[in-house]
Amino acid sequence: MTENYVVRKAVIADALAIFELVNSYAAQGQMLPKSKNQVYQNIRDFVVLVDEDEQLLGCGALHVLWEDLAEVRSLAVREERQGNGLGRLILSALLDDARQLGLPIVFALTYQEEFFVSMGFRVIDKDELPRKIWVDCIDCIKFPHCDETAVIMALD
Amino acid sequence: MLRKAKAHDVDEMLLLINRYAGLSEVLPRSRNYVFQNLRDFLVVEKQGRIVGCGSVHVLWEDMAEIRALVIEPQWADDGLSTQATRFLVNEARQLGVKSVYVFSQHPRFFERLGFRVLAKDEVPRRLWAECIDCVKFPDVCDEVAMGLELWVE
Repeated sequence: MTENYVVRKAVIADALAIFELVNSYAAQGQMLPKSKNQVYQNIRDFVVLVDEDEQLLGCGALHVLWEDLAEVRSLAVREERQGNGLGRLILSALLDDARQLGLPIVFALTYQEEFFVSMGFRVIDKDELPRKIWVDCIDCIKFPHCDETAVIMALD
Repeated sequence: MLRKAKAHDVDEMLLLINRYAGLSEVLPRSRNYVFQNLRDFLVVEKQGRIVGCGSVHVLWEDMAEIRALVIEPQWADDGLSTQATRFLVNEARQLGVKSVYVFSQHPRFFERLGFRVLAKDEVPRRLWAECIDCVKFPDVCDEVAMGLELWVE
């Protein structure tokens, strides 16, 4: 690919495109749906990958949960752009973000465990995750029958 | 020095916020709230100590709210409250917010920075969502609602 693209922090003007991308995958059961309210109120969690025309190619969020723990959420790359390492770019930006904020442990609940493992995460039993995270799970439409895989990574 | 908050600042921020919450200056905040909204916060450091903090939280496509803004009184004359507020308003502007709101007991301070006192029914309903959990809601609310319109490209 010769086109230019960049990962940057999201602004409010990105919110609707994020909402549509995330929910298009949610509709296929590949990730959790997000309301507009969730996207707006957590817009600072998001990074976006955009092309030179500012079209959204992908997005991802890093949500701070506790003093040493952050969660990767809503990581998505537009279907026709998959397989080009764009997801890696987004995840790398989110991990840098965690380092900047001073958070040593990052986890995710995902259906794409191979992707995360290839980025240095390891699969763990969900019961090993701190109880703190279940506070947010309680509002999930899949709770308590979560079929996602937990992956975790300790940052350097 | 003004800077974005980091995870290791939270203990000091909580002490500060909840000390002033005890004096009814701001709402009390839980450890969970501060961590989950850490990105909203700035801290003010003096002599290696955190003497102030504040946050701006995006609520919807066009609005944000200044929350938990406190500066220790002995530093109040240094213009730190003004600097902190301008920092938060500027962040809101960069995110693309059109209106910034604040509930405060210090309307004169915010008026000097361009905020306008709002009648409570001028306040968007969206902002009341958080009021409902407030210990002062609805009968003993003693805060003044204020808004600032931002010019956005």
